[in-house]
Amino acid sequence: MANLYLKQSGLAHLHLGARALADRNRTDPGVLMRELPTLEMINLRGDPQNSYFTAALKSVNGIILPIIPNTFNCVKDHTKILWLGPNEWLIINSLSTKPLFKRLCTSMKKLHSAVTEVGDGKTTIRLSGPNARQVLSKGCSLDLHSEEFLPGHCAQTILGRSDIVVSRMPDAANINIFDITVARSYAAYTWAWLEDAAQEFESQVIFF
Amino acid sequence: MFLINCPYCGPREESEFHPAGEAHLKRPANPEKLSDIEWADYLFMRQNTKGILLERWVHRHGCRRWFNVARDTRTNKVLHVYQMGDSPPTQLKHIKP
Repeated sequence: MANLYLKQSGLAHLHLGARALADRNRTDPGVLMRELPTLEMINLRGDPQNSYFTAALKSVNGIILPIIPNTFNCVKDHTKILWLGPNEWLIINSLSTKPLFKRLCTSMKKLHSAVTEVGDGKTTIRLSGPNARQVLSKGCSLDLHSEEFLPGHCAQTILGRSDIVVSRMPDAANINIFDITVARSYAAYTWAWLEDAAQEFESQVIFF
Repeated sequence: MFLINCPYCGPREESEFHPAGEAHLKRPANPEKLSDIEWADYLFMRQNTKGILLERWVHRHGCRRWFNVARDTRTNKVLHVYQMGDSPPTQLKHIKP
């Protein structure tokens, strides 16, 4: 892992803090855009039928794997486990003070599995607001209708020209919240693409 | 839009997938005993079927899993999708182009 004090988010060069300051007086934006930087992400592979494997996971922060395709589980608000395939998951942990990677490695030691840290190669863009769904639909062939792509659903797909993992967050106020995880090298492109698609709905950049 | 029903993720757009040619090719049991012509035949020669073709596809921009597809090459219709290791659907075997 890179030195923490040198760690920069995938979109640091866009100076979103300054953009957010310029946007702060926007009234009634249709789309809110922000980056969720430097999240810990772990790619996990293993056999979900193996009870030793699932028990070992449960012992690390109570992780329970989603078995239903295209869905994700949450553990205590700060950890998400996304289904990527029949034996593959993406764990996203937003609690930087409690990294999971080493604890997962230790618990998986004698099991047929793979634990890979992938967070430094990716970043996440959060799209919310009443028009977020329309913006995504412009470049994504998934059926994103609010009755079809529900809170708790996720999918690996293509947005514009880049591979993404999109997940719809549970939201109490019924505003659509979509998290788009994208490779760091595609992040600037994806951000520019989203901004362009969101132009007609009056987008606003938020920073922390 | 041309949808393919990934056996793991469900229906997705064709652009997420990548085709990889004929399925169920059997690797010769003793490759070292084959003549060059027989080996080249196994490596390169394919059916070019007009009609129902059993193919391998990979969900490259999705779950990255390989699976088999029965596709009619005349209409480009995907008739059946099944997992790797499963045998081809019997009801399609008898249809002649």
